[in-house]
Amino acid sequence: MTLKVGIPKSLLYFYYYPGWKKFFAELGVETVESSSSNKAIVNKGVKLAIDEACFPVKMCHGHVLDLCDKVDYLFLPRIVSVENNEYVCPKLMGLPDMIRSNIDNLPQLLTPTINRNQSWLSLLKANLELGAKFTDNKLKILKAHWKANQAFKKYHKDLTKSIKSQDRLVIALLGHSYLLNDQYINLGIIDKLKNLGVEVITPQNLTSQQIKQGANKLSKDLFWTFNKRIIGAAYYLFDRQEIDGIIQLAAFGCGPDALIGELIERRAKRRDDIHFMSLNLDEHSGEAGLLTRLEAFVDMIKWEVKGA
Amino acid sequence: MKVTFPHMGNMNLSIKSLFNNLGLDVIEPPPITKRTLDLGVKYSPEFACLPLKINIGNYIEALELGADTIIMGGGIGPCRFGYYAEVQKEILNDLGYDYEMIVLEPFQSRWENFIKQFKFIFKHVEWWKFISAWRLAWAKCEVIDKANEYVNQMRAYAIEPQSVTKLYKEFLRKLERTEDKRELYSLVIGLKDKILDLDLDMKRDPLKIGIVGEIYVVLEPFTNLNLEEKLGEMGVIVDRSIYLSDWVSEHLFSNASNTAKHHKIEEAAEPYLEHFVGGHGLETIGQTILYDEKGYDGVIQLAPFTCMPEIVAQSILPEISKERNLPVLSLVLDEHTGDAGFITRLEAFVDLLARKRRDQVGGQVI
Repeated sequence: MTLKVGIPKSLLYFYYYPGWKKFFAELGVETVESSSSNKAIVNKGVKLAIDEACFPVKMCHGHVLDLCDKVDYLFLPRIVSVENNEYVCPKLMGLPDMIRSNIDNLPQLLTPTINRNQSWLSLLKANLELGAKFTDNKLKILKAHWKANQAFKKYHKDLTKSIKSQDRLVIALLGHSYLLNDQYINLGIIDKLKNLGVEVITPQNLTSQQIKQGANKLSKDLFWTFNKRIIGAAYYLFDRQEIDGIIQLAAFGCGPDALIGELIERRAKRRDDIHFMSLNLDEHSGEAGLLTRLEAFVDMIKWEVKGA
Repeated sequence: MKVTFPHMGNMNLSIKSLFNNLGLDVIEPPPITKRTLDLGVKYSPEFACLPLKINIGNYIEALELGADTIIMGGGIGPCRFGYYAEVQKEILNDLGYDYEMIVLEPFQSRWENFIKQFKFIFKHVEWWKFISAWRLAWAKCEVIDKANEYVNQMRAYAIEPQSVTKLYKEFLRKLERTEDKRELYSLVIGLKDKILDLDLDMKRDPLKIGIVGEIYVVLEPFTNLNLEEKLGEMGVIVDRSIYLSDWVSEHLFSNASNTAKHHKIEEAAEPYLEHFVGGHGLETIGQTILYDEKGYDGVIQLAPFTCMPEIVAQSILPEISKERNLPVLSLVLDEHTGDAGFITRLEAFVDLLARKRRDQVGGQVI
């Protein structure tokens, strides 16, 4: 019987999964993903996690429970820092400990620590340790590490695109990768916008140079990597006359978004050529209400463009 | 230049002394009131943590009194405090205030920057003057913490706990006016003597509760609704795990994590939380376990709503509580926290501790 490693389809999975899956595949390890987010997972997660936790962390509890009796190992990396002098959100740093305390009868956890602040080799080191659980062949692990890196880079390169349309409205959809890519959490907002005839651009569509260019406008370097991508994208797009509006997706209880969202919102509201809307997502979000708001938002922009 | 700064517990006493002795014109924000909170809540992002909101209230009230320079701390993450100043600047700018904000970033981020900001505020101050001013302010800070620690214990023995609080407040008023280091120490001794002269019942064996959590809400009585005083009046010995003097040395000189004390906390937390999570999350876990080892009856965790490090800690505390049979009460504080509900929960918690102790000594529970 081959060993099965479970990967919860939540949080940073949406940013890293091509790399993660490639790594395990190269090692010949079978991976099992949790089901895509659904009502049952939300309900379980909300029940297990503490009330104050943010919605995505609650969802992660549900995804872990979904995998519990299907796998031998559970892959739950402790990602502390992926860029120099930056961090990810504290809740992600403590995620394995939270899951361990809140859920009983877990399969064995695989929690490599990735802390770029300690050493630039920390990812390689973590992968070597992780791989050693499945094979003694160091070369194979190195190869898997390299291939995973390639897969991850290719995935993000393929996502980049530039704004093409001249006559359609362009709306920037800002938010964490785990909100943008999880159809259930975001209530299919991207498709809904497309159906309204809007071209959508997200931080994932921008190159890291473009994001860096935007983030350089911050008065103080931001120490959260993923939020830096969001605000970098926003600041980059502010300077170009390409977008008509910004929709900011934030999850209930997200700490960094509370501050970063405020900075983006204030900057957007000072200008009259960019419309701004903020959507807070949680277990109570309803599709009907969302559609109404999106329609109103798009109509408002169209009116303005025509009126001008 | 009229300088102001945000409140945090009794921090204003030390800061005011430091700035005054450096020849700065200080406008202290008025004490935190409902209005301060309302102003903060009105202009801050909804999901920001409570300290940010109260800071905003403090700034506005100080600017209204004529302050034009705000001095604030910075940070390098991952706690949100490190980015407070950037957001607060935007809020105040949009409100149209004319002011300058000086953010003292910790040494380890960029020390050239630190010196630059420092020089900007204190450009006309000789270094020897600075050292003596710093020493006095630092002594005040330490003396307040010592007195506070003592008062938190003695309330539990006093027949009238309110009179201990009264003596403590009188001590703080005297301290504010004192400009001599030696006099400060005699003030503490005087406070202790006066408390010992009160009607005390030293035969009592009071319950002991440790307080852990996020520093701002632990230090600022307005946010925790005078938790220490309330528990003291219920006849409980209270011990705080965080004091301002610890925080300052930790935040400005960042050598605290190397000290043995911090190592001990990390070691204690290890079975439950293996990694630091910013803020005081790891300390909350470690100190809870240390309180258990020291034989405390219970632990209270204080956290502002949406505080990220404390959410991690709060998720883990129930497991510690279960495994070690240690009652832990997590109190999440925000602008909606009300006095009545708060007292009810505290009373229930203290009753539970008393009952548990009686059970353990074999007493009968009806």
